[in-house]
Amino acid sequence: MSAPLIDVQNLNIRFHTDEGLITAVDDVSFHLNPGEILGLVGESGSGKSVTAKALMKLNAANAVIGDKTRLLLNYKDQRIDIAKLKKPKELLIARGGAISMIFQEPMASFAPAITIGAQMVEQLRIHDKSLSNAGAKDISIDMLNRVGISDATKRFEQYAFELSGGMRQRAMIAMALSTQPALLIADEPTTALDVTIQAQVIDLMKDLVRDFGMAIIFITHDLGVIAQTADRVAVMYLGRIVETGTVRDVIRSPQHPYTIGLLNALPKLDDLDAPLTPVPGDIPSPLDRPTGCVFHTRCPQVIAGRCASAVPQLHRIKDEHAAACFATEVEPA
Amino acid sequence: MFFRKKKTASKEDYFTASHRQLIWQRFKSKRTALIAGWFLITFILMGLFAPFLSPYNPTAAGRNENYTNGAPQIPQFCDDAGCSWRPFIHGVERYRGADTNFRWVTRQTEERNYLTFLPSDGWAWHVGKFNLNLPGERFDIRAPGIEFTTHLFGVQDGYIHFFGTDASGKDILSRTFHAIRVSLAVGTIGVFISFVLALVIGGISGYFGGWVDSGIQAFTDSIRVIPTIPLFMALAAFVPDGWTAEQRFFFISLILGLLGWTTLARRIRTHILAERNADYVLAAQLCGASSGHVIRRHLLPSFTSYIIVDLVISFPYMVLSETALSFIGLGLKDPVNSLGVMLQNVSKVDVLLNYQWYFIPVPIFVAIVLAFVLVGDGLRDAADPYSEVNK
Amino acid sequence: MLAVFTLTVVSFIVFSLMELVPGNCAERYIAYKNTQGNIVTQADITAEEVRMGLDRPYVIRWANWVSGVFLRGDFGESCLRRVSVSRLVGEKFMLSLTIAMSALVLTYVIAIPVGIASANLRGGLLDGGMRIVSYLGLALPNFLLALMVMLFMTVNFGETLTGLFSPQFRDAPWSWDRFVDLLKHIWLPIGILAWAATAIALQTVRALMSDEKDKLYVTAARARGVSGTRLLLRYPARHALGPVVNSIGYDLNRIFNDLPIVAIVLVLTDAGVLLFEALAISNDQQLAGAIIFMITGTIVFINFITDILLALIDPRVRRSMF
Repeated sequence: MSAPLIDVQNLNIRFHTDEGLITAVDDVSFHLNPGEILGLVGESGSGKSVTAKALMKLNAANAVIGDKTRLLLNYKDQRIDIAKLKKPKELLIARGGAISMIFQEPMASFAPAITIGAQMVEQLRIHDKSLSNAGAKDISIDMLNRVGISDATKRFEQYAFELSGGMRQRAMIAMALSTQPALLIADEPTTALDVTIQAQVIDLMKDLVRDFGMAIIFITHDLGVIAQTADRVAVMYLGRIVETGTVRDVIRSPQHPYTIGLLNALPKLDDLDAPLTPVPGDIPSPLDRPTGCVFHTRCPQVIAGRCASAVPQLHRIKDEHAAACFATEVEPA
Repeated sequence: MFFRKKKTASKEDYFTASHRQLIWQRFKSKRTALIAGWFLITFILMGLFAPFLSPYNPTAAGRNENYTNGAPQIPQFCDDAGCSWRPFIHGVERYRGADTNFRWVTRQTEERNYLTFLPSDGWAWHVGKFNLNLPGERFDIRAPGIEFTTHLFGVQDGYIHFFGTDASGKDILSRTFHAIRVSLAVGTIGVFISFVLALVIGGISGYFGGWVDSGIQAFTDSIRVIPTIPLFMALAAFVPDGWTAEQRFFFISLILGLLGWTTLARRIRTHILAERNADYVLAAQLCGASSGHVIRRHLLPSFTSYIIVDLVISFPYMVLSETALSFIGLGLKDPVNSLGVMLQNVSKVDVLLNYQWYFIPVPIFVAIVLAFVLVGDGLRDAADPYSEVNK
Repeated sequence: MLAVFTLTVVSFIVFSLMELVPGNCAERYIAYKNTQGNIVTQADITAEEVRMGLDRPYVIRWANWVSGVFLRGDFGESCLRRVSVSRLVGEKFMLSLTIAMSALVLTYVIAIPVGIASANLRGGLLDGGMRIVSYLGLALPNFLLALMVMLFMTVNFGETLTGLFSPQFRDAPWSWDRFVDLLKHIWLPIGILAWAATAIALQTVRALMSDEKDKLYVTAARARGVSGTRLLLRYPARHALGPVVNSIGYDLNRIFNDLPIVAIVLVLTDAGVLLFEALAISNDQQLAGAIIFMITGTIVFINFITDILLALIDPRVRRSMF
């Protein structure tokens, strides 16, 4: 296969706060091929949203990106390090050009007093200066039709508060795809929706990937959603990737104790009497990150003396399947 | 959705802290507000202990006839005759002679006048003395109180004026202390009256909702659009000239209170509207609690801290209104001292050129208002869970 | 609709307060005549009361007054001077209104851009400076500022800067020269009134902008490539505008609150140019009531206009109205 679409190397993000520098993402590396769906899984506070936002440089002003961080984008025979982009003009490629993003709350991500159409046209004309208003409107209405919005011409003139929840998320997807990006970042796109609409939106996204040949980074805390949609998955805990691999490998034979814990905590539909076993303990505050392996404070397989002092690196288990854990390193499955 | 809690058990007390503790904790972390708070406490203490701190009676009774329009007297430790451990000032005398074209002038003498502390022969002040002159003799209330004559400081002989004296020889320092006292008192009474009104009106409006709420809100809105100072001016103009200083004082506090309740009432209504649908209120109602009981015992405690914050915020506006009114001569008048009354004296060019010490109450007034505003802002930020500090 | 209701309630409150004041118009007039050397009896007072309709029930008198105001713009007669209130204060009220409105416009012309800039550079030098100005705007009230400016000018330039007209134009009919003369004087009260109002409006604008710019739709717009001034004006500023418009009425209220005090400090009453001497000195309840009602009416009218503006700005309000 050719060069990956996105190659993230040593991503490191810290935030300036009153309590000092707080590490949100620590030495995260992953890549994504064109047309591939990568699931980023983790609890709230695991750094998955911060990671995704970094790809578009959308992090808050107090975020500091590490020196060694490379965010390489291979797009239309160009090789761009997003981390080095500064000017708004240069950033256009990461913001709506090659990469688009959809957010958790479709209501809050539309400006309330601007029509959906106006926001779509604005985006299209920013990215293609030669496009006329009428041309942009045609593309927008076409896109709205495509994501299954009925009466698209009318919706174009409407405001976000006049649409239903599912409709808004469809409109959001239409808007994100209208510039035909190579990568779509979906930040918990279905969390705020009803279960039935959730399924529709997921199906819609899968169809669109096929039609547009687009890659997706799918951020969620829901392993069930990942199992349905993603090709590969990366599990994050406290700003580090603890396990990564194809969905099949990770879900069938999880290696990292945290992944195992997450899977055990899922309700099992085939055995409703099976007890739910939550991961014990609470996620530590980012203010006092554990030393060594970040998970050792809650790990059932903790190796005394080792896990608290040394940081385990990702090591290959099989093909693309890798985990960062001393316990699995000692005796591979 | 597996785990929602982000903090460790060591932060347990953070979660279990009461709302008021949280506000206090966040407030403490704001330096400006904290400094302003200390200033505020100082001013309040000055107001409370004004009679003790003031060496002389602030009214005409305590005037120094020999030192009118006198400059501030700074205590010193040394003079031409050497130094002393006790601070002293030089005496003053009225003098008229050929060298002054036979006009009276005030000049310093060489004689030393030492400062004394806690002299017990000063003017008399009272704790708990209370006179109320209501229309009709029968309603008059009198309490003699306890008399004191001790003050913080004085001089061995005659007078000392740290802040100088005014045209009739009244001690500006003593007047300033009493002005702070009166201005704060007017504010307190005004805030208290508007608070009671706001509590009752806002409480009823929020608790009953529906058409009662709509009616009260429309009425509140109507009051809100009337600008208070023109209205007050109209009313003050009709105050009979014969009223005593105390009557004016209560009248002004009353009017300020009667006009100032609308904003607070609105806030209380919003709080109650939001809270009254909470489950714990329903539970109380199911147990058969009366409306009054639910409002008093369940709804009010849930946002007392917000109410306190609102009260602090509304306080400087009361002080400002009183000052503004007294300043234009419609509020309090001599012999009552308030900051507005004192500011009245500085409106002449003559004063600026010759008697600059008249201006001393101006920065004090600005400092008091500023302290209140800063503390109010600090408290509001601390009380708002979405404020910047909390991010 | 609501505006009419508010005005009715206000008229009732104002009318009632004027009634509660000890002594009625007839007594006051007769007392005034008395000071002019005429001897009057109780019978004269009663006759005067009947002539003025003061013997009729309270509510009817109120209804008469209100209908006069609403239908004919007739505020009744001044108690003391026996001329129509409208004629007495007409020009003075227009001048006050001009000052207040100009101050309001000046306030927002300054507060909106500075507030937006300051929210955008939160924590920066401009932001810090702005906060200090805001606090000073509260703690250094208009009348003190007016006083200081006046004293400063007098001492340094020997100019008092008081009044609205130079002596030769005071009672002259309107002319171009008089207008120019007015402009030479009017900037000071406008500036001083705008001072405190700006301080408060700045805080409002800044707080609203800070709120808006952290919202998700702004991030979403950035994610679509919108940036710079376009982002700022079209997204957070555009959406903070609604609440700002909403606050205009209360700012006007505040300016009207400060106006009489600044007017007194700057001796804007010297030629009887402003209306507030009527309020404070003459004890004329008919006149006072009319003036307060005019001011309140202006504020209610502005509130009405801002409501319409709000509907134009915010589609949510617009849709809920129709």
